[in-house]
Amino acid sequence: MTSETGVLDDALARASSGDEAGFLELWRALQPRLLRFLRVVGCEDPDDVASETWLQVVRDLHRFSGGQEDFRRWLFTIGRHRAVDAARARSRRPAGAPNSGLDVLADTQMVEDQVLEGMSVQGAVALLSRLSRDQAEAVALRVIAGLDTPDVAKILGKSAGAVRVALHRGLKALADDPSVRELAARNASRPAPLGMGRLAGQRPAAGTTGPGGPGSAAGFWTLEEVD
Amino acid sequence: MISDLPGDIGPLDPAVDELFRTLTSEPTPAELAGEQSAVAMFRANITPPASPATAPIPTRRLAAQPKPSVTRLFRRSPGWGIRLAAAVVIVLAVAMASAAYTAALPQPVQLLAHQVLGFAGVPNPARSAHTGGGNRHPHGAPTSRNSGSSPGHAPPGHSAPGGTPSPHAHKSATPGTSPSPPPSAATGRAQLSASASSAEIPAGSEVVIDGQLTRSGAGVQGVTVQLVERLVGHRLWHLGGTGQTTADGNVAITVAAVPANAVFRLRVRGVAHSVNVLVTVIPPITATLTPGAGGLRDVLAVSTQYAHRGNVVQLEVQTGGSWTYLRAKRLNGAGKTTFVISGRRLANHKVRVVLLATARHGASISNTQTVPPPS
Repeated sequence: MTSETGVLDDALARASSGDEAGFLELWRALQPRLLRFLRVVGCEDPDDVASETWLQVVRDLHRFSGGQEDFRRWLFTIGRHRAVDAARARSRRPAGAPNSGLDVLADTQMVEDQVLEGMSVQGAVALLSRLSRDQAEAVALRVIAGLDTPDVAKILGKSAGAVRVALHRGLKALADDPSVRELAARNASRPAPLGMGRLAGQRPAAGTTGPGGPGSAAGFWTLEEVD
Repeated sequence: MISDLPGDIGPLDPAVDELFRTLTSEPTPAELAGEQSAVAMFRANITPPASPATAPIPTRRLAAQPKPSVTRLFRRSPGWGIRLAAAVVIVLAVAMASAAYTAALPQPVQLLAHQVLGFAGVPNPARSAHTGGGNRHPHGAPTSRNSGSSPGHAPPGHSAPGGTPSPHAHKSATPGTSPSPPPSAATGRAQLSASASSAEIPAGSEVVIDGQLTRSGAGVQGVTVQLVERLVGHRLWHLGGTGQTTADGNVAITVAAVPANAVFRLRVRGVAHSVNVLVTVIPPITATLTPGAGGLRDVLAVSTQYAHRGNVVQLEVQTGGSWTYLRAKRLNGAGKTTFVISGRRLANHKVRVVLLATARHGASISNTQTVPPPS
């Protein structure tokens, strides 16, 4: 999952020329982030929406030009549009039969995963999705998608200043959320899990030593880190 | 990464930092579960880049062009005048030929046409007038255009006895029309029935198509019957086998290894054919349960043949005597997939997998597995 700029650029170039392995590399690097972003914005069926997103990406890949950062911005733009479409379609449909609850029996997010991972990804996504829509989208695009503020502003159709304000308020709300603190305290005694790796633009801060390094448990998310 | 966040909040709160670290943690298996489907989708939808020789630049140029008018098209195509003249000549020639064959031309012109094209059946106007007793003969009348005096057919006076060709003569002489009974069958219409030994068969197994050829209710012996088949998704029929009818007109033709839904038909060329018989194939599917340590992650491996990549299988659990849907996945290119289930929560429940029907095969149900209690 760890991706370097050159590696993903190379994968993008190979995928554009029809290479399956190149596409798979891109997909493995970005699909988890796309799914988490879709969950944060309240998408009820993120797998379906992600599939639709990749389908459109693949169909239009021959017209795409740019590097992996442009590709990431393009991917999340499409993903956000598909999520909006899915929400509209759902609002037009009558409510289905109530869930019997049996589907959770085969949930792939097993108890084992949650124990090993400490704070589960789903839990983190749930905490982030408590924010207002604007704040959640801004933080998710910034943190999960790894986009910079101008790109986030383009995707959301807002000014960069408005995005910064949303980020500021979102981070403050998260910091004030007792659930976030509770989970962080619970995880403090556990070894830090491996990170998903940095995307291009996510450079480690000077002086950080990776997971467990100074500044944070993972060493990735301090204000000292520079875009 | 987030340097352009407002700086008044100071260093990120450790709790938020932990939250973000989790949000960017390693992908879970569930998040990468659709890998095979993604590759299949890529393979099916990727548009290969245009080679330099066929770069799509002209497309944009064409799109930018104003919509061409008809006159501009003619102006641009240098040979349009020649093509137009050729079309006019062809139309006139066809019209003249039609008129000549129906003897609708003025007598001198008709005579000239007869002298030139008499070998091809253009009637002699003098003869027509003679046989018609001064009136126009039906062959020459405008209403007799379908009376059989067509190219390739015998000219009037040499065709059917009595000089009145059957209205169907032209049709039966036209190549490519549907087979009709030969003259010998006129006294009794031949009929050919067909049925499959089983409407549903395991995919890849054989099927026997039985039929009977009868005429006036009696079996016809010693006739070669063809079996033609068409797999679903294919347009063309192809020969699947032949057989000889027995004394009572029966015939049985075996088709080995039917891989997909197929339509069969028996026929005796030019005499009769049966109705279509549809045979549905059922791909065998097996489910194998491997308990995980502590019952946390039991793996149900699904394997099938004759199904295709992307076909959907759904996991079901038996509760209260009925089967309840849990979740669905798509098969990979090898016809396999796995479900990860909780042995703790599903302990002692029976599970199975159902392969959904497609146009190429019917639905199939796997064997049942009982989830063991965690050890």
